[in-house]
Amino acid sequence: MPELKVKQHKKEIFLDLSSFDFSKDSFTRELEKELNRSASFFSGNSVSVIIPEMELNSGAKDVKQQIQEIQDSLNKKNISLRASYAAGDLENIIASADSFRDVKLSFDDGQTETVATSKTETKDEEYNIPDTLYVKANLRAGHLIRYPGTVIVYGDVNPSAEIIAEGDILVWGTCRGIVHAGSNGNFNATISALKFNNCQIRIAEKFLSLSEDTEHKKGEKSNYFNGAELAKIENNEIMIYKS
Amino acid sequence: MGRVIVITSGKGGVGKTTTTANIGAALAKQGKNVCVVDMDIGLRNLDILMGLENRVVYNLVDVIEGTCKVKQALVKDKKLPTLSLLPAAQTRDKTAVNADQVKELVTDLKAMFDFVLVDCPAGIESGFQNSIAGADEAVVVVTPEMSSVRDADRIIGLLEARKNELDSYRLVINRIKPDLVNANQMMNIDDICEILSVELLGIVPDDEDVVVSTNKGEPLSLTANKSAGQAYRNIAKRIQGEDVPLMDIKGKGFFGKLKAIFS
Repeated sequence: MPELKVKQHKKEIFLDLSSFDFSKDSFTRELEKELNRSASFFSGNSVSVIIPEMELNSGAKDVKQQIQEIQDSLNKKNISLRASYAAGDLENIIASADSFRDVKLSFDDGQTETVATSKTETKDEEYNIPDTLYVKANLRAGHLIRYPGTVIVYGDVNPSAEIIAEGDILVWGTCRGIVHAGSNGNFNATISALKFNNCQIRIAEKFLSLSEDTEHKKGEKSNYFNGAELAKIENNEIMIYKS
Repeated sequence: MGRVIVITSGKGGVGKTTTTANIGAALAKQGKNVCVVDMDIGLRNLDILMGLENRVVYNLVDVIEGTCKVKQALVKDKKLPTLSLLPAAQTRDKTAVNADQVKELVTDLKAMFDFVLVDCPAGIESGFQNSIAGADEAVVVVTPEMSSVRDADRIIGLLEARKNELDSYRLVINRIKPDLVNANQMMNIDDICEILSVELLGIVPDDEDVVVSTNKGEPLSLTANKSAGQAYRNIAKRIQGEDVPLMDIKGKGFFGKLKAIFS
């Protein structure tokens, strides 16, 4: 029986869904059943979800659709979804600080005190999302970050890794994957990297793919001393500037 | 207490099984007590590469299900008494075992051998998860192709997520064709290392003798004096902590080819 685990990191609340089986049709039903037990606690708040690692890659079911289903279930309980992460990646993603704290809640039907007090606490403290997510790791194939703010990666973004951010994206390393800034339609978002190499750049609804031959000449090693590169929208088109 | 090393790659056909057999044989030849475990349940191969297919009686699933003892299932190599094989079951599939059972099994083997090499199946599903259960180190095999590098990258990402269980993960670049690399037609070692950014354990040049030795059931690292055989022996030495310089895999070039004609 899958179990909904609640974790906390700083002010952010995570619902750990990694024990759920996404491929099953009964998934939404099971999730809502679990939410029913604990929904009063989160009502009115926004949470992030941790999705089982394998599901992001299986391709059996569209990830977007899965996340949409989760979002729908949460919305029914008056909870909004802030971000979603793949289970295995979390350790890498939250590089900034202390490890996760498991939040202990009593979900007993008798409930009362614990839930009540916690509830007032959460109401008092505003859930400020940190504007910027700092990732100190290489993002490797299959890694996915969705974030409602700016994302900074201290490392490379490798082929077929994906970053979808509502704010800007800054990669201190080589960007070879898929990067999408201003994902909520912000045309002023920018993406910068020490080097763009054979990657796909998206800003708001615009899209640009850089092919290998434009950048990578015969066996030439990438040279960071050429300066960083910046992508932004100019005249309705994504342009890349070298500093 | 021995070391459990899982040999994995993500992509199929890059040479995991060949690498396992050859490193295993080389380590055994160098005097270590080695057990190679075939975790590719349902697609058993390792026994063929080692020329032991006719000696298999029990298999890994039998051990896990309690049909036999570990010692009964182990098959001793024909030539090397220090090398044993734990074969996979051919009539079952990956769901026959789970990660906890495998972990228990490799822990038992660890107590009996200096090195336990686990041959991981392709993919990132249960077969992979089972194979890395209980592993101390991982060796990621990659060939100089974009598809292989991307899959290896994914695998390394998954291995990184288990950082606290794995001591190290290192890279073996397999099947390098020196002539193509020189002509800039193939990804070179630097390109691969730059993308994957992990420690390099060794490079193995492309060698036709590998096919021959596979069919003969004699790991190349025991017989061949040059090329791939030497590369595998070097890797075995590095695993034991020796500092062996990387092989020079430069192509023959014009004069080399001339020499080859006259020699």
